[in-house]
Amino acid sequence: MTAPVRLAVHVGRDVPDGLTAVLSALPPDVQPVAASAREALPEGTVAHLYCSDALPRRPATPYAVWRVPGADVGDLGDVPALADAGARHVRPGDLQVSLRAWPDSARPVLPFTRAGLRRVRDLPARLVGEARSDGVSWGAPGEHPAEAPLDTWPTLAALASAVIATGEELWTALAWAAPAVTDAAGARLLGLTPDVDVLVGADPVTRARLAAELADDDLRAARLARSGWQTARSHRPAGVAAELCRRLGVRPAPRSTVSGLTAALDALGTPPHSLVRRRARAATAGLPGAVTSGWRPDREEHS
Amino acid sequence: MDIVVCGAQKPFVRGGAEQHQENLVAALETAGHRVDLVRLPVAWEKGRLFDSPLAWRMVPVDADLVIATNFPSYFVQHPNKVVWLLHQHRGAYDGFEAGASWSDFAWDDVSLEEQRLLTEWDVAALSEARTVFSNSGVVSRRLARFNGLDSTPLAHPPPLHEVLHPGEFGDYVLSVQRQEENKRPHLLVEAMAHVPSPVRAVMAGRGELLDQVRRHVEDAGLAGKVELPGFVPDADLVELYAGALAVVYVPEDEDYGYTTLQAFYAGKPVICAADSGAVLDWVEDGVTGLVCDGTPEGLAAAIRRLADDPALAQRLGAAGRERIADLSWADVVARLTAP
Repeated sequence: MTAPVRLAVHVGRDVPDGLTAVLSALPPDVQPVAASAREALPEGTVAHLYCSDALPRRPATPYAVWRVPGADVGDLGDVPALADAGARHVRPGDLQVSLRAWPDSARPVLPFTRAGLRRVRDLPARLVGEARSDGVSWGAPGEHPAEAPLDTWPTLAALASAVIATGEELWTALAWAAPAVTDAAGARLLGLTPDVDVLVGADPVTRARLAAELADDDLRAARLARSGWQTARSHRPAGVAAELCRRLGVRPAPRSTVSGLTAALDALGTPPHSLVRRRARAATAGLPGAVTSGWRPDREEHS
Repeated sequence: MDIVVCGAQKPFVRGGAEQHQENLVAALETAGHRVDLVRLPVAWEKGRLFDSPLAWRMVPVDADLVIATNFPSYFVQHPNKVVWLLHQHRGAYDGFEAGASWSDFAWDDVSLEEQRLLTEWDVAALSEARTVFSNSGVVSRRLARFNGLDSTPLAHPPPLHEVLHPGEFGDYVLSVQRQEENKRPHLLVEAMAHVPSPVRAVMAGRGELLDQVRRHVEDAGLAGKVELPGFVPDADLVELYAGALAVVYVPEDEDYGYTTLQAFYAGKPVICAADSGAVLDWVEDGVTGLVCDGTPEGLAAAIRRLADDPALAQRLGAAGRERIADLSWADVVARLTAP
């Protein structure tokens, strides 16, 4: 059996919630272990993660840093840095961690597919949705919009050519890969880059205009939708943990073939009841050990 | 470096993609790398569409670098993956959008969910690559529009480029392609009914429509005017290029198309259609060839124009030859293997 690799974690007085979430989301073969300068490192330690308030003068390498508010470590160069998404001390290039819940039912629907979904539902070819605190509105750009309750937002986020939203509704829209327009505060809070992940408008009129233009620009909408979705997804603790391992050169042991098959399907975002999962199960069911070496298709399909 | 080139293959079918992969291997070996070509079968229909991508996901490839070339080989997992994309699964994207007969995607929720999932998978697999190149502007534009991903077009010399050469401008237009639906071979046959003698058409290449096109020629009474020799050996093909008045290549939304570049190496102008896709990356109307409207009459008019003005054909052909002067496999290898 392969011994797990260990990530030594050097924390100050408190362990930030975001850091705890990332450590919990590390791949199964990577174990986080508490470390201090006074104690010997556990066997198998391959990398270090320091909270910035516990960063020594000469950190052990390779290492990453979790930015703690008020503990400025200056320019870290190529050293990976992590921080809470949207925090004021975030620097460009930081791995931003969001503790917002990812909508379980959300699936990325890029503009070409959503145009097809509108077509088969006889919806307008171009459709803009807007989330407000008291509900949502939707309609073709330039026409009087229809009103709907706030709980219809995920549907609109999956179908609209472009959406206008902030806060949780923006997060939901990004989970559905909707081409999105927001305000500057909305982009900053979710750690999004204006013009790359979302369009930003300073006032309602500007945001409406940007959304109408976006609804009419397939190419820009596709780039924005893909980027916004991937960026939001990368802020989830599991996404940050995977990227942290990559940047630190920490490689978990390869999975066994059968559990690897499930892991591969999961990593690609495959829905539980998809045809390809059933085909994969059928293809491997007759192989010795296929069910006993960790692959539990019954759970995946019915959980 | 130890490099594995990855490609998909439909068993018993051999076309431009297979040639491309083999030429890439040869070019990498010439540059001093140790190279192997790994291919897995692919199925295009919806019910089995995800099987091969998943298989690629599980294939252990030990090498310094992997270069994936086409759907679904770019699903291979490797920390140093470069994609040089010939095409995605077109039936789920542009073919679906155009309602092409070769796409089994329909406007219903089941097809749209399959299409959505493939889009998600494609984005995931292609985003892992260190760099994504495409083989043409058309492929890059499709990737941007359907998947929101950027890529860099990277052109390469076609097969036979080292032996193709200019020659006399003869009395025939040449077509070199597989006789298949998306190449629209019937268009040239119909056009030739509007082209006066002595201009002929030579349509080289096999394909599933070959017999049908031959019957079309017979039925239209064009037997002396349109030749369909089927497979033509390379040496003969080089001479056919050299002696042509022009090359006709009117596919529908082509990904790359070696024929255009081969024509330019032979100093011949290319007549294409306004919807011929990547051919238009190379054929500029009135500069390196003629772009027709895709009707038999329009194509016939373009052929007549060159037949009536051989000096124009020579001028356009020379400009085409100049257009490809900088293409080289050495440049391609340098860019694919750059750190």
